[in-house]
Amino acid sequence: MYKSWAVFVGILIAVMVTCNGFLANYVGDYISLIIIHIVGLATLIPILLFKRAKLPRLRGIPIYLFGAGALGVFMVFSSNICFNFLGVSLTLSLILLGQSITSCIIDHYGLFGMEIKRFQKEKLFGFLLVFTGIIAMLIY
Amino acid sequence: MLYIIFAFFSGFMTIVSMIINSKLAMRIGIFQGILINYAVGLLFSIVVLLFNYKSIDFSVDILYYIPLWACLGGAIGVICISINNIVIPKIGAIYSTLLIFIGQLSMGLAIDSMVGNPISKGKVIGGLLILGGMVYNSYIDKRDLIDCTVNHGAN
Repeated sequence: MYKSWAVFVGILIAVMVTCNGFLANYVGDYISLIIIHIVGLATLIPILLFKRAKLPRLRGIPIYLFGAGALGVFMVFSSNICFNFLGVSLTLSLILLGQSITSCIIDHYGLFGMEIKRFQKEKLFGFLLVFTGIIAMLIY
Repeated sequence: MLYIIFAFFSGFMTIVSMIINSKLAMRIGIFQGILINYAVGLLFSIVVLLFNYKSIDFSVDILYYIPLWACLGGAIGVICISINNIVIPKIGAIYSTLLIFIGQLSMGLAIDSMVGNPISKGKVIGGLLILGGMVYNSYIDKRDLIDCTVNHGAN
């Protein structure tokens, strides 16, 4: 049951990238960022009210924890541009490759206070497959 | 080529922001954390806009021509995060990444063909190869996880 929900999230993500990409075509890359964030906030606030969530207290939170929002802006910006040039499936595949390599690096060195998990050389075979897959998508 | 690097780099950022988000969520709660993200994101996009205002050719009239569905990306994003918060703890990060990718890839191929990039053999084979590589790597991750717990149990 939860498994089908995970697949559903994947479907939604592909739809989201398409919506955002089209929006960026209509109103431009920068204005689209603002619309996307406003719509997101407008969806989020009713959820917060419905859950009767308390307003967060921001004192004493290290400043870097606020950085994810800024990273998010770049992520939306780049997926909007890539959508137009690479299409949905290739963009998402490349993002996935970036994710898996990053998580291996973070795990290997224990960055950001994560537990150290050394890189297994066997995984190079998996990455080779992923890489070949992306080349195949690019060439054909 | 530039776009390929862009997409790859945003994968890198996705992971970094996931780590930051989980730390923020531990302090102030999941949805409050997302609220902060979107608020900071909005502020940041306004700053980006101000820096680039000269290059913008925008008139309010355009807003009338945009189909409604194109504006829903932000809302879909929030829904995705909410479902993820329920699903990922239940089935584990490794497994959910795989399943999410299956959804992304099949829907991505479908949308690509709808907007005029027909589904090519290379895209399907490429997607299957990517999936194969991911399954293989997650199998190694899982095996290590089990090894770890077994060893700890023995000690």
